[in-house]
Amino acid sequence: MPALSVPVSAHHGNAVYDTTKTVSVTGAVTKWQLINPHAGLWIELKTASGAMEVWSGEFGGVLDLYRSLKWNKETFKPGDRVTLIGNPARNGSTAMLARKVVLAGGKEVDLEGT
Amino acid sequence: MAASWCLVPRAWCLVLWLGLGVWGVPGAEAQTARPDLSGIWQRAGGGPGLTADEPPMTAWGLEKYKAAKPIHGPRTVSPAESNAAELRCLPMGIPGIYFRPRTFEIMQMASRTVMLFEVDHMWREIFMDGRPFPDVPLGTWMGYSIGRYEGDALVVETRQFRGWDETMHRWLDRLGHPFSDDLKVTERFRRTAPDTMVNEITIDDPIAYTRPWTATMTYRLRPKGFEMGEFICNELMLSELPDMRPR
Repeated sequence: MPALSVPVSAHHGNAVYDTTKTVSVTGAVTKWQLINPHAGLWIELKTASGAMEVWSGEFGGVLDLYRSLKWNKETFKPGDRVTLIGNPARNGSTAMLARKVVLAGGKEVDLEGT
Repeated sequence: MAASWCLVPRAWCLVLWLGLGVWGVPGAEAQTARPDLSGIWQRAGGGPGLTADEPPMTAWGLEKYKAAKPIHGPRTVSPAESNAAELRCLPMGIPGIYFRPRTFEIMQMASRTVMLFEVDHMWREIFMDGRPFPDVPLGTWMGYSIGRYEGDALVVETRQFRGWDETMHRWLDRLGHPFSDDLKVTERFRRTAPDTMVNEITIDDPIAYTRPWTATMTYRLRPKGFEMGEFICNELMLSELPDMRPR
């Protein structure tokens, strides 16, 4: 997959996340932190070995998400099953810069520009 | 003093005189017509620096530039390693604040022009009444601004900054170009199209740069009905995302 451009509001440039790689993980929402300058979503999933793993996704800020997507405090609720697609942390931790999200209802949302 | 030219009863003269003071002399508006820059604006395009070319730094400037650890541009480091004042949610000053990708509103009045910034609900007062700069160094985050109209331009001079020091690496941009307490910024705002405003920014800082230099920044008018929102930088301190803040 070709490297995507870094979102306008990216906080980290590409120092923290590897923008040449893309990962996709599906799990249940445990936390939705809608704050500036970057919102965060945490999901929990079971790995192939049966261990529980928590992934975080970094998003744009409150205003960008609201203006572009009408996202708000209630966009994600604990337990929602979602897929996070994005650039993984360079240090191998279970964190990503989110590029796309598949919402609980199955709708895929492209985060470009947020 | 109003009576000598006033041809109506004295009480009405007072009303007229006070009215002219508040709303201005009818007809004078045409002679001093000011460009209309009012509206909500947002920077259009542009990168993390003021110019593509390296500005002419003094030895002092270059030393501070080398010490900078920005989170944008070719020398990007992680927020944990950065010394950008931005990441401590401190005001970036002028022109630094324009690098935040957020909107600002310009409100023009007779004696002041006010800029309202979405970032941190901050405002900037530009005094238009001909007052001089304060005669003592104020050392402020956003500087002290005095403005005037020149043809189709709003010209704003800003001084009295709190510049770079060991504890606070203050930059003009997001690339780490420093400025000192002696920084003087001159901005020329012009509306070049109904939805476009250009700001010609001259940096004059003999401590950090060998000569004054100029950059241009463009802003796009947001559509009618656009609402500025709340963007409180300090929420960053609440973030539970990894590697968001300086150590």
